[in-house]
Amino acid sequence: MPPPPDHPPHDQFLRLYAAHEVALHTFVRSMLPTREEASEVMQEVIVILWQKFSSVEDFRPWAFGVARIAALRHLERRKRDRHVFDNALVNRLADLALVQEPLHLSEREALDACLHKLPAAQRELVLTAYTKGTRMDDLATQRGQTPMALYKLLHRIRQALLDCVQRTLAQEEHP
Amino acid sequence: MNSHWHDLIQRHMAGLTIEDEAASLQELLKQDDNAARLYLRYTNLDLALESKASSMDATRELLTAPIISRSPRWTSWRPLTAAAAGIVFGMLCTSVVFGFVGQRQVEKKTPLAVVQPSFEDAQMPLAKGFPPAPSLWTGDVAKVVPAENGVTPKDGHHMLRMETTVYGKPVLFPRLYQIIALSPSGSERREIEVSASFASADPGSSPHYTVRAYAVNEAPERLGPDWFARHWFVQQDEAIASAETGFENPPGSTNWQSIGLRMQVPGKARCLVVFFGVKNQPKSQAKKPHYLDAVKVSFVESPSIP
Repeated sequence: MPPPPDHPPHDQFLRLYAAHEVALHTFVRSMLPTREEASEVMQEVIVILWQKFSSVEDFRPWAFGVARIAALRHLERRKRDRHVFDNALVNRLADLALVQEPLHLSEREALDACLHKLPAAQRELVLTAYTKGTRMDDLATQRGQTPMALYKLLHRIRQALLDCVQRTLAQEEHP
Repeated sequence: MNSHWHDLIQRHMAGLTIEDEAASLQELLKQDDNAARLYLRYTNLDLALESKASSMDATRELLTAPIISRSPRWTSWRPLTAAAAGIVFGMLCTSVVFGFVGQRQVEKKTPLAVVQPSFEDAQMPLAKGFPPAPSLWTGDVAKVVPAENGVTPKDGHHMLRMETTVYGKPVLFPRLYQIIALSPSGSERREIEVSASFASADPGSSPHYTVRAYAVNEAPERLGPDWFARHWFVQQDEAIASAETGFENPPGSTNWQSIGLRMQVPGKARCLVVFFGVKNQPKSQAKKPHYLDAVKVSFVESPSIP
């Protein structure tokens, strides 16, 4: 069986998608209430991007446009939910997320060090809580806590991480 | 920024706000740029923590999964995999960088010493389990074979057959490992590319091919089953870079599929654990084996941009 020919568009798509995946996912997450919904929409986005991909030129603006439309369509299906933000705010958050993208990438890089500054038990807890398939009520039961007590602890850990990330970036800017 | 903002945003993201609170948050985010920025920092953190947990979960699977996994944890795989069948995608761990678009034609690749990269020695030893030492293929039941089952080697005259059943029991996740020693480097970071080709003899199955690489700052001789058996957080501390990529082979295809990844590895990394696996979908368990060939691991040097 002869080896198949190379598929340059396939390779190009892979490289472009890989280069923008994190930023795209962050962008979609900024528009949607939960990360589960963001993951769901990202599945739609990658399929659309792959099906419609034809050119390397202007991949980034095109991909972000596709992602924005997919997120808005998703929200349209949830418009009766009063907890969902209106389109005006969602678009405002999306625009702001694009502006803040470099900061968000820096924050992600600083997060590693901040996670390691956490006490080991807290670090393990927060990462367990974010592992796919983890249910908060089950985790609370395992720990002998009420779900609300667990939620409050995670709240404090997240806030501590944000504070640490902010301090780290400030120190890098003004050592 | 007052603590009320933190509380309201976090409760909203956890789905704990009542309608009035959600409306109140909406007004706040519309009217106050600082609040909107804080909200976005939380959504970014939310996703970053999920990504971090996911990469650690993958690492944990790499390091602690049994050799023959009869009940693999499918939930630990990204849903993207299922949705984007047939599409190559990159599963990016924290340290993966694919920043080479536009520089491909001028970069230099220096191959790293991989033992039996195209499995040409039919007597090649294959130990079971995790590598006890560098420069040795280990893993699940596999055998060096010439062309068979309608599959011709991708490179040379032989390839590695990865069995999908052992003693009548299915192997849902056949895998191979090798530890590769890295020479010391004065540079802060180096880019490494890992690639391999996979084929399936069973056109009715739709396996998911996986390539992973895991750089650590331990000397190769200190790695081994004991090292891997340690608590995974300790391993994560010692691991200094990791990357993974995958490809879901569409049913009906028995062609070779080449997949690869690139990762930025700190200069202090002493060795690289490379992993090649095939995850069989439970509903389409392969009746025939899969094949691995043309393993390549290289340092990639891109010229500095003037």
